[in-house]
Amino acid sequence: MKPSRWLFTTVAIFLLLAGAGIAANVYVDIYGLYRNTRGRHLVDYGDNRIAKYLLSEHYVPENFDAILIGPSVSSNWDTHGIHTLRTYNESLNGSNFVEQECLVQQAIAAPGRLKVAIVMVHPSMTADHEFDTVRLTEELNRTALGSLSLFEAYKDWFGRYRNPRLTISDDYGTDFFEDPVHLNATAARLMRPASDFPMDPEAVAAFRRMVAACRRNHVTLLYVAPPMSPSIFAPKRDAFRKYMAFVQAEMRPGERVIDFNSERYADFLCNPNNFSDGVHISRAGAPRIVALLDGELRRLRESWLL
Amino acid sequence: MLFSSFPYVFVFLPVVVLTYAFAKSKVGARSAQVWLLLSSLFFYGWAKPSNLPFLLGSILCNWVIGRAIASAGIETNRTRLLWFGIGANIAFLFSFKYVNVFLSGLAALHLPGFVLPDLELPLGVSFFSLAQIMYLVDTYQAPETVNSFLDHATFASFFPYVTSGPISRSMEVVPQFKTFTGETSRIELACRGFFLFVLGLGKKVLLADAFGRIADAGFTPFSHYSTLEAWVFCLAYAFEIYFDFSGYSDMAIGSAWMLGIRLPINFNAPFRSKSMSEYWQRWHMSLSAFITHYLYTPILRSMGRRATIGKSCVAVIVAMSIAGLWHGPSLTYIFWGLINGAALAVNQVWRRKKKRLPGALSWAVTFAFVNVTFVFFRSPTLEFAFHFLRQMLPQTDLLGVSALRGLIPFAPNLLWRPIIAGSFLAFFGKTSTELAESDIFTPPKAFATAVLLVLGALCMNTSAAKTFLYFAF
Repeated sequence: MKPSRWLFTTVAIFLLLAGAGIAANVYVDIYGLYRNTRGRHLVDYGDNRIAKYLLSEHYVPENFDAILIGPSVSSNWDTHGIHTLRTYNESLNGSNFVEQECLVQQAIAAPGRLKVAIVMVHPSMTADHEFDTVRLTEELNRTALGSLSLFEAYKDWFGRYRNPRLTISDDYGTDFFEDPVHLNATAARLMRPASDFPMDPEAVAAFRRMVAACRRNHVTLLYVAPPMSPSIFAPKRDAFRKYMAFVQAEMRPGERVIDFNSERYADFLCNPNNFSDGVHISRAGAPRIVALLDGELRRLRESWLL
Repeated sequence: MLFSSFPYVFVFLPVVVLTYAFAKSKVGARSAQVWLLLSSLFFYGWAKPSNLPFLLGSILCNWVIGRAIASAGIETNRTRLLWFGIGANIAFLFSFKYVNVFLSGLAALHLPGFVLPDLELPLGVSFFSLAQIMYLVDTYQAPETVNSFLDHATFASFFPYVTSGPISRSMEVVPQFKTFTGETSRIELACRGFFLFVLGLGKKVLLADAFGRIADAGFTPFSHYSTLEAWVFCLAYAFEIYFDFSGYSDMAIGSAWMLGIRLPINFNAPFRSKSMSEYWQRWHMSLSAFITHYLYTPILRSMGRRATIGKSCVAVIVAMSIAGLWHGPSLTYIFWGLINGAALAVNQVWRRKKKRLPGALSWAVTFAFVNVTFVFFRSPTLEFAFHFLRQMLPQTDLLGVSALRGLIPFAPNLLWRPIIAGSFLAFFGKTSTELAESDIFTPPKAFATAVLLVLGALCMNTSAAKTFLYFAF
């Protein structure tokens, strides 16, 4: 084979393989970037940070009225149970407001039906500012054309196709993780006896940018303090009170907060079956808390507050 | 601009190579060389244009000093000019490497009104400063090799090696800008260069980055590992730096071959070495050559006419310590250089005694020792390095895998694929340069190259590309 012919053959095979791969990925359009997403049911396969970031570009704003922003505390809340507003669960395990800001900015940038952002008021969201698996930037859009993360997403998809009972996530962004038995290292560090929580200035700045962007785009903000097992909450009551005061200082008139740790929800809080490790809601408790949240949303809507 | 990035692989490199080939055949060698110079300056300034004046200043000053050395009639003046040039380059290099450390010390004293200036290390300053020193010494020894300004600027800024080597000699590179020499045709060398580039890209994005994720997980402060885990993390770093730097070198050499310019090879399967001196003949070969010719030999000569084994040992320890110092202002680098120098000295004494170890044993000892040196190279502090090394020694928790288990659920493929592929490539089979010089012009190899390029592109597209480790120096 002559060198020039070899070079031509190599480049041609590369273009053929790369072109076929890109065409197939655009056709499948697993993240809803290239075709109309209305009525489609797209699941966050693969790395769910990348998946939720890309799904937030078209799929979320075109198919949902509300987004739920939070850490792992709310990531197993199956928002199919929220009937008042079609809600996509943007929660990411171990996330902070720097990561969530990226998702929110992405979701509100596109024209769509998004009207409400439900923000979890949890100290883990302002404790640090690092990206976990990957930086959520526009460059990730390229990964939908062909990448190892897309390959992982196809593997997840194929796994679920072969075994439909293997449900790890759904088209509403829910993450059906196994109930943790013990507090993870981050949560344990956060819940150590102390009168306040660590606050990362960059995460706080991201929180402020995020709520400002929502307000600019006429997306109503609803703050939610997730329920916590009384045994974990009680020693940190002062710290949580201070944290809630910080959030309330950032709120504007007309914005509401639902505190699931208040007396009003004593029935839920006193049932230990609702909690797994004390911070996370168990699989059994998740539908109950979602129903409570739906009830609150319905009440707010009926009072024209939402 | 990273070699393993889309702008370089699919835009910059093809445009530069095709335009250079066209200009050289249709317009002339000089115009092609001007194009190469402009492309190199564009490449260098891509990430941070404010670095360009440092490179241009270095080029101009060394060209002027080189001219002065070549034209000075009296030997004493030539020697003085040479030492002035070498001193200026070392001062230039060390001002970026060490002034920050000094100023940080001052800042720590909280002096009123003191603001820490931003003396960020310009990309490639360690490498192009060494190339300039080599040029001055070569000009001193052979004044007829002095460069024109265009030649010198093109040589010093040549984009395949300006950021991280291979450290090349002006007298070997500059003539190739004018005429193509070699047994192969230009197109054949370009194709082999393309092949080598793709191999290097594969090493970097498929292997080095995967090993890097394992090593990064392991070299974290306050870590407690079993002996097995400490060795796994240490080996992961050794493989990371090898595939990263040799992959980078393959891409640099491949890029140059595509332009019809041959550069010295930098790696020759170093992990197969059976002694430390063999290892240093195979690892970062262009730096080893510099250390031998421009540090070790002059130091040894300065000790007197008669070279003894004792003097040689001292010279090699001093030379390697300077090489450690060159890497950065950290005790860990100095210690890394020191123990490498000590190992080379022991190796010299051992050879003199004509004692021999079985091949497998000498390989195992060498490889284990190299891994120990990498612990110093990777650790942020000496204290951390010794803490890590203690964990590599047999201890109560010999085979525990709890830390590895923390990594495996997130990345099972990340661990096994690179370990299998990396181990094979590092210890067996042909090196990438040998492969590139073998019979590659067959349909299966064309297919394999295309598939590897597709895989490389997939990896590059997966996340923001990790920068090359040696960009830090």
